[in-house]
Amino acid sequence: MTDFTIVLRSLRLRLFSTIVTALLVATSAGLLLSILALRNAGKAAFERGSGNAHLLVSADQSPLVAVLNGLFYANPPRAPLSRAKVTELRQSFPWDFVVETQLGDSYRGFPVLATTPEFFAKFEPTLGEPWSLASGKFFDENMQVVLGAAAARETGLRLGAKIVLTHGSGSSREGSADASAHEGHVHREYEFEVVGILDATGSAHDRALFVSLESSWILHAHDRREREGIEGKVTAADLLDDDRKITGLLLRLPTRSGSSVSGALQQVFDTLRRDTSITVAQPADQIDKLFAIVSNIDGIFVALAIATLASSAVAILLSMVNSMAERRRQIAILRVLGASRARVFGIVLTEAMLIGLAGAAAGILVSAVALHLATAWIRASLGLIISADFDPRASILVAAGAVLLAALAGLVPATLAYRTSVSKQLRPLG
Amino acid sequence: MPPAASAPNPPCALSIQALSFEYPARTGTPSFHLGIDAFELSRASECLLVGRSGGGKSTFLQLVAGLLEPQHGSIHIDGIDLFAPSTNRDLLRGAKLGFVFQTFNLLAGFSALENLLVALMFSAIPKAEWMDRSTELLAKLGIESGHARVEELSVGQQQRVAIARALVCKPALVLADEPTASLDPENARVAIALLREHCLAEGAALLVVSHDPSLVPLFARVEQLALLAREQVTR
Repeated sequence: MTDFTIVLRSLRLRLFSTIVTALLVATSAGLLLSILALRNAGKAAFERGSGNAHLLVSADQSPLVAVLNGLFYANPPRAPLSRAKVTELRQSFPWDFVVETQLGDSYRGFPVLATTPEFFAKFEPTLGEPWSLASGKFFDENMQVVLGAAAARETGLRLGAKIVLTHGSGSSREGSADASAHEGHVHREYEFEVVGILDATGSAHDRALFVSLESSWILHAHDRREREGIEGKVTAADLLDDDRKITGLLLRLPTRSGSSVSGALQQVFDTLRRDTSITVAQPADQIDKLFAIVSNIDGIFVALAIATLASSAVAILLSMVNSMAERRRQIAILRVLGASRARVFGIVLTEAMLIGLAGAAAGILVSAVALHLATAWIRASLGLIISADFDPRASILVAAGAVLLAALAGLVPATLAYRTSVSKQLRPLG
Repeated sequence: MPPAASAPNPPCALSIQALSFEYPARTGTPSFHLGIDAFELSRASECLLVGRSGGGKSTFLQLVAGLLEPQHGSIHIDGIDLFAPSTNRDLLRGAKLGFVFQTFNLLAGFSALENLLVALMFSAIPKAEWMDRSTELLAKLGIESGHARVEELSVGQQQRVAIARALVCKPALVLADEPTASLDPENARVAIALLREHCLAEGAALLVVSHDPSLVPLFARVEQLALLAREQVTR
């Protein structure tokens, strides 16, 4: 028999109230942990998509817009980069890779990225995780298309399917009789065959379709030639320099083996930034800036969750104070048996802390299970890999916070216990 | 042959000297004064203290239990000055005093055995002896189901558990506050007999406080609080 046994017996006597109060703490602790985990996971998910490119060059208005457009397919860039500028940039530094990209077409609302085979060979959508195919192959000829995992799942396209692309961000579908109903011009003359479906990367790339740059140039050269009154299908031989437009460059500098950081990056970045005809962005940097902007809203959510946790401490206080009417007799008995005021104070305070601890433990468990289920659902339905893993440090901090708040809440009933009059409670002794 | 040294007298279980206590007057309540010149009760002896309701019996018990502090005088429990600055009254109460209440005041949700173990937590008895002592005492009092929760016991069994709890810490003095007030005369006699028998067996003094005149014939020593005390009510 110890003081702790008395605490447990007392909690068991008020089992319903104890469970309800602990569940309140569990809900708020779980909510706080989930918000913290999802906040970090959201940033991590964005960071995943930035891949292994050190720099992104485009003609967008700002570096952040360049990253949102170039890597997260927010919008097609408003202006292309000239061929001469691309050649100049290619020769400006000893790059590890330079991957040309062009955005502007779409298929049923999914963005189409035109690029070179190097995109699959050298660019990694997530650092250290190169592209892999769920089925088929990467494109090796014009008029072939590779589907991102989410795009494949949502369009239902299979290998061998034939599709036509739309100019702009509208939608088109194979065999659609009323293409004019859709936004943008449909490139009906050129069908693309699905030759590969990518494994999920957990990034925005999963929602994209990938074709060769030359295929895209041919589509747009065809449009130009139509405007000029020239009939017939276009081949690569018909392309002019002006047709060979791109909207972005993914650049990576050489690094030491085993490292993804280049010592020359800052110097190269500063040099390129002097060129006002282009926008240069460090993707990781821009994501940090983006999250710095949204962190205020984020902070409001965290503050709300902390407020909820604090309100659960108030629930502990109310529950324990309400129970004091029936507890006072027990406390008076303990006092008559020889328990000091300080000891009954400690017993009641321990009860409050135990409710806080039990609630926090349940909250951690609920949060871990809920996050596991939520991330699995997000991955299955949205194709986003959210690594909202169990964070031991955050869990310990939240548990410690819950116990501390419970202890603060327990001060009131503990003080009432401390001041309990034995004589009043144990009449006729009193 | 030199005379044999006489053994020192064992201390009284309860010794009161020149005790004076006063509740100050409050709005609507007159002041109350209780004064006792001397009162002693040795170990393994017993006394019935009778008095009318509101006559100060409870105040007297609270003073002996160390729950109230007198303005003047002293109370010694087993030779220890209850109100000396060096005395820890909570510890002394746990170690030297046992209580039996009219409504038993057992800890709900605890088993009979646990009620005794809780009392032992605040005593000076080594932990290793707790279980043996508790089970033995419960068995002596006819409680075989020590693991049953006290709410599941009959009233008679609850009373015996209360007596066992009062005695489990080997107290010098057992204070019984109206122990028969809720019992019919026959059960009251049985309860008092049980209390006297086991206090005697454990060597504890028994001080029963009651307003029930039917208990008077059962005790060799009966004190009237009104005679014992210099009680005054000032309006």
